[in-house]
Amino acid sequence: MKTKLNIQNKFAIPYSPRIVLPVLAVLLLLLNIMVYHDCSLYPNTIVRVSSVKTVQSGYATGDLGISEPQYLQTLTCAVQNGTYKNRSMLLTNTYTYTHMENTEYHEGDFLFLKNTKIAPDGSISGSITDQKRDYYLSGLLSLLFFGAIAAAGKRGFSFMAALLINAFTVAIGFFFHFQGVNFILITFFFILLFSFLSLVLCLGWNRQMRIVLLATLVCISILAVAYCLVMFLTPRLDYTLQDYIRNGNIQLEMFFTCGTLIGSLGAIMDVAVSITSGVEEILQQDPDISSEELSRSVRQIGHDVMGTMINVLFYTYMVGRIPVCIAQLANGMAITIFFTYYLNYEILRFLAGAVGIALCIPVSEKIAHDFYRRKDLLP
Amino acid sequence: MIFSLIILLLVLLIFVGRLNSKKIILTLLYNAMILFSAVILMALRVNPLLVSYTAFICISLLTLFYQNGVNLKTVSAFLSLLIVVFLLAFLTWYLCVYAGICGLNTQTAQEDEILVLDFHLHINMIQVTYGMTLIGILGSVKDSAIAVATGTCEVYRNRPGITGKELFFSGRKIGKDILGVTINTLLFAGIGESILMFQMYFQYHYSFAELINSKSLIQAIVLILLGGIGVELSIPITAAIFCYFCTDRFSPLRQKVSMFRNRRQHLS
Repeated sequence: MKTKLNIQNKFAIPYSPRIVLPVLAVLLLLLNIMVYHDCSLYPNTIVRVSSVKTVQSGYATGDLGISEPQYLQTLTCAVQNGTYKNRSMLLTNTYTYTHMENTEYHEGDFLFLKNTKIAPDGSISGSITDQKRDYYLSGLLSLLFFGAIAAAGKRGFSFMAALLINAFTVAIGFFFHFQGVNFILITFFFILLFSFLSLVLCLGWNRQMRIVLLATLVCISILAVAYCLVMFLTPRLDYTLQDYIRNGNIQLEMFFTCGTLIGSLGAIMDVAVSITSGVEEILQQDPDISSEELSRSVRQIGHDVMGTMINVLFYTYMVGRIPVCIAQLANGMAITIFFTYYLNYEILRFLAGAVGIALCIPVSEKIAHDFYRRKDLLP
Repeated sequence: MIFSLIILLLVLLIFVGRLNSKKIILTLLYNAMILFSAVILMALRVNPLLVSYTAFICISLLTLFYQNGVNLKTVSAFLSLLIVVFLLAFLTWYLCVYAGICGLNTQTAQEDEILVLDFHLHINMIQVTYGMTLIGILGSVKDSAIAVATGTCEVYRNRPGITGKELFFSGRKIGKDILGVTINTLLFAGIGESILMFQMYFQYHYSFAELINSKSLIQAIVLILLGGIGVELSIPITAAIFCYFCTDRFSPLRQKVSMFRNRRQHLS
């Protein structure tokens, strides 16, 4: 046993956290510094806020009759790129206490401007369009990347590769969609590719991975059929109240259904991995265990996994919309209307995921049981 | 459609979990009630930070101790959950204030149903977003913390003479298996939720520069990223706390916890 381990170690890629982690930290830090100073790559004018003076300019009152403090900011900014580089300018910004339709700016923020003009007296003017956020994104991604490698070593690289490749797959899928390929077909390939890539990169190409892949695909197909059956048998929903709709001609129902199925995929994979490793473990310890006994212990594992996973999905889906929900409720929207028209998309997504999780336990148990007992079924 | 899916879910849960599923369904129901009452309280202008922290504590106590019982595993998971979220709270607050992840983004601000709303509400939405992001992180961190604690506990039970250091390393090894799939779960939930957003970005030929600087993208993926970082932090922290409890220094506490558990079992 020991010699076998030694041989494996000799041929494995050397990995030492003491060398890899500092090097990685330095590389990621350099990357973030580069992203922070990449203003010259943008065609739009970017300014950096160097000092802020905020005064309360009065009270604002809306249709509801609630008055809240309103603030006026005078921002002294330095232009970062373009023809007016390194010149300073003054901008004004107003924001209200609620911070919903407007933003408060701080010292050190980078802002995009449009309509930058220079007046005869030499002062530059422009209007703020958006804030530069790419360095926050790269900073968070670097933290995630560094944490994955610190926590999981060499396998952390594969997890992050899976994350990036999956994100890239989405971009390619949409590219093909706008070349005229049907989105249902693309979702089909998305599901195949996502599950294959993530499982290969997270578990490696081995028998357990192939069993998990099979279980995941069977589960997602059953879920898709069940979901579509329910969808066609019950009265049609109104999908037009979702966010991010500019074009009324796109098939909203189809996009929503595809998104829901992709959203459930991760949870299904998670449960399938837990169940198959549980079955493998039990069969290794007691190869002659009866089917009923095995099923009972798998249900116990399933019960533990199911409860937490369903809660994870619940919070991941519900939390994002809550600020808008609060605004709607504070605007006096009736709770029934709110539930039937606005929150129902999140509830549907969550329910589809939860049904997928619950389906996955018996299905992956059956598949794992059959394939671990009979080695000839799957190579 | 929602009702049919709820019935389908209930039937499946009862079929899969038999009598055990009562607890899952009740926990979910309580969670929904806590979240919904938090929303209503915030809409009634109770301090958002107070409401979120209370909801946070209630949810974590409920999902850990009600669903999984009071024992060494859940106590160490709870402690590590508190530490991880305390660490992430600073990062979340920084993002909420400086990166401007709260409020409407340029795309949603143009929606019809948003345009009719009056946003002079006197509710600090930065605090609301901050609290809700923390609750979102809670789900994934709790999932991994309980998985690491359970796995480490199994190892400890099978090899009672194990040293603290070995136990810590086996806990981290269990964590490696969880990390990849948990990040995947978050990622796919995020992608599935923002399919329409991506559709819009591609159809209207937004440039890559606009995409990576937009508020909508960072709003869509902040939970994936923060949740992933939380999972990574919770793996060593949970393993360390569990090992700390298992060494003899802490045996009085351990006895107390097991006494408490025994009493509960007697009662129920």
